[in-house]
Amino acid sequence: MSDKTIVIVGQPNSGKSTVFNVLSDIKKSKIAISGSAGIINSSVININANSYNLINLPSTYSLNPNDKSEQITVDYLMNSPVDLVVNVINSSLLTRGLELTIELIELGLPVIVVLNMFDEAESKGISIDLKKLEEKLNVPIVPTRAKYGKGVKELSDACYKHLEYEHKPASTFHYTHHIEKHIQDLENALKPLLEGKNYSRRFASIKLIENPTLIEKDIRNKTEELSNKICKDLLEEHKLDCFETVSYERHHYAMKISEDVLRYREKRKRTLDEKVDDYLLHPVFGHFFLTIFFVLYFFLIFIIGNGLADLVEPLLEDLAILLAPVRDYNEFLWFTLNGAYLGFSGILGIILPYFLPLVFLTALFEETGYLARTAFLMDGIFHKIGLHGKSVVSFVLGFGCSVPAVYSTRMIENKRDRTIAAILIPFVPCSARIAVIFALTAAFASPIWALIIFAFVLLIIAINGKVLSKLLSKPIGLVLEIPKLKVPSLKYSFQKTWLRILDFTKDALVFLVLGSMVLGWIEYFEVSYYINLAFEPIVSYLLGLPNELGSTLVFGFFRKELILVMANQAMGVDSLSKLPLTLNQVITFIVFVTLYFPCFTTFVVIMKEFGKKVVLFSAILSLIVAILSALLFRFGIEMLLI
Amino acid sequence: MGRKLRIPLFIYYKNKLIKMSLSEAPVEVRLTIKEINSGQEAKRKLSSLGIHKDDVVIKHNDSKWGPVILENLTVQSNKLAIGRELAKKIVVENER
Repeated sequence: MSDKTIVIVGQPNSGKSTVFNVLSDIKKSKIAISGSAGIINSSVININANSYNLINLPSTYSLNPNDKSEQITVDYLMNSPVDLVVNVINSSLLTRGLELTIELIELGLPVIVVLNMFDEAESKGISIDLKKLEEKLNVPIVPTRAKYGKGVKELSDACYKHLEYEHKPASTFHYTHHIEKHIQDLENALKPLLEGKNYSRRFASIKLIENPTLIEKDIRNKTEELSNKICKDLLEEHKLDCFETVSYERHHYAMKISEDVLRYREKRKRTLDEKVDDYLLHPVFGHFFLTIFFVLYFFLIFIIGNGLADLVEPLLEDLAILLAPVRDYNEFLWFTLNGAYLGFSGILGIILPYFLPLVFLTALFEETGYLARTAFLMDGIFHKIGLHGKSVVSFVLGFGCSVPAVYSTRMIENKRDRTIAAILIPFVPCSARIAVIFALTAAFASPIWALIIFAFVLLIIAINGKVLSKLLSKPIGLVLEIPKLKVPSLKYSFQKTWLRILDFTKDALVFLVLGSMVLGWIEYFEVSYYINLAFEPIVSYLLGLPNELGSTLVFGFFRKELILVMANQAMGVDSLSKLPLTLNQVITFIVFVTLYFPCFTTFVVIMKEFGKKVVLFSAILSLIVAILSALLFRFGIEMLLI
Repeated sequence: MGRKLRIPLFIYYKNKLIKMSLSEAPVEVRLTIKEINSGQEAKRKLSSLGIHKDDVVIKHNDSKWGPVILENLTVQSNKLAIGRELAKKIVVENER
């Protein structure tokens, strides 16, 4: 007998993940689906010696998905075998939560409602009549304070009871009678069509009116005539489109229920976190605090990262010594192994030490609720380049390393904004490229050039952002919930960090090790000459650089900081200042190197998160931008010097 | 005509029922949402976050640019930030 499946569904900030965490056993947790939509955690739990699969679906406001992760939840509920839905509601936001509950009940799956953060509602002066609510919905209601582990036992008992014993069906929510009539008509029409479907006929009928795209095409086509007629009728009667009519009905139903079950005590005093919030969102103090916060954030990542890198380095050096004797034994083997080693040490020694504190601090940061406030503060400025406020984190991270920056775009729920951010991030000079810029300008020109190049790069980002946002469909504008400020949970953040690191290293390790092995072979077979030849058209003719630099660029694709070393090697000099380049050539070279291609790891991460199309577009765009910019500088300087 | 009056505007708003966009509405006053003239997608997003026609809301910030902070009194909710462009498309009326 296969295990039954329990899924957790809830709106954002309902404490859904906390409920998942207290119910699940971390040792048995695994990542069920990971990818562009984020991570779905699943686990196996035992209740009364029965084992069940527990799945934490991405949070969604309703079953009318607005973005990719909400879509995943809705698809899962409609198409995968689910035996019980645990619907987590933030008690202090009962009315809004009930709208989702009503949809879930309409869906026809067994539902248990968890009123989480029960204490928070009480401190807000809201008390909920549980018995009455249970009567209204006809589903079990369990009040919890998952953060403190309260009510968890009752919840697992309720799940067990609901799964293993008979239970009465949940209430049916009747719409205003003429809409109800339409729903009945559709239900009758659907009777022969819904064999073997997960969802109920009623749900299908309601969605056919409200949001037909959710229902499979063949069913939609067969009822098209009827649903079109209904929509026309509704439009005439209500002067609202079908979606609004139905969702308002549901809204009013939820309002009616919550009016019956809620009791308010008198308005309590403003709590401390609300007072703090006034300052955090203040137009002046807010930005001031934001700046301090980010400086601290990166400072911490830098300090911890440095510490970790220092810890790992001796170990990696020992490993290198271990490898050394192989060279005398077999050169080819050594180049291969050394390549693999370089890739491995790149992950362990360079990326992970910074990635670890970054992921951890970001997990903490996400949980406090400050992210939403950051987005609010930055929205005005970012709007100007066609992005919304949430992208700010990714951009600042990009100055450190593009890889975690691309990862951090997961915080942006809108696909369009995420994609734009991911395409722009590789243009932000990461620490490796900053090193190249500084080293080369210091060796050849005054530091002013470094500043000019920085300013130019920012301009490029702004222009690209503007153009991209014009090309892609119009954004719906920022609508963002600003959740209550919270003290983050260390345990949960550690868990999140662990899962994310695991997810990242799994793929990155393979790619970087393989890539570095290829790099080793290039060195062994001395293919640099052919590479130079292949790149001659771009390097020599377009950019006016010595063609030996061609192979340098290929190395730079793997690791940008390698460019400095490889340039010296390629040109046969032992210090940067001896490179036989003119000022004009150096600046052109720097500009090209800064912009020309996301590095290999970034390339892989973008591909993994966004797919082949986006990564190809990003690569080609950056190449074109780099060539154009380099040309601009090449001829620009020439003109200025004359 | 309300727009021409500059200084007494606030008093004017406080005493008259007048329709205006959310972006130019006064702060800390009970406002009723009358129309949402945005695109379909934004309407859905707003509705799923608990903003509907006829809801009573309070606007919390008075900056001339950047998003508007909104608190919904009809549906208990967390504060919401609504982008300036979208706020322009939401018509509200003050409640006496």
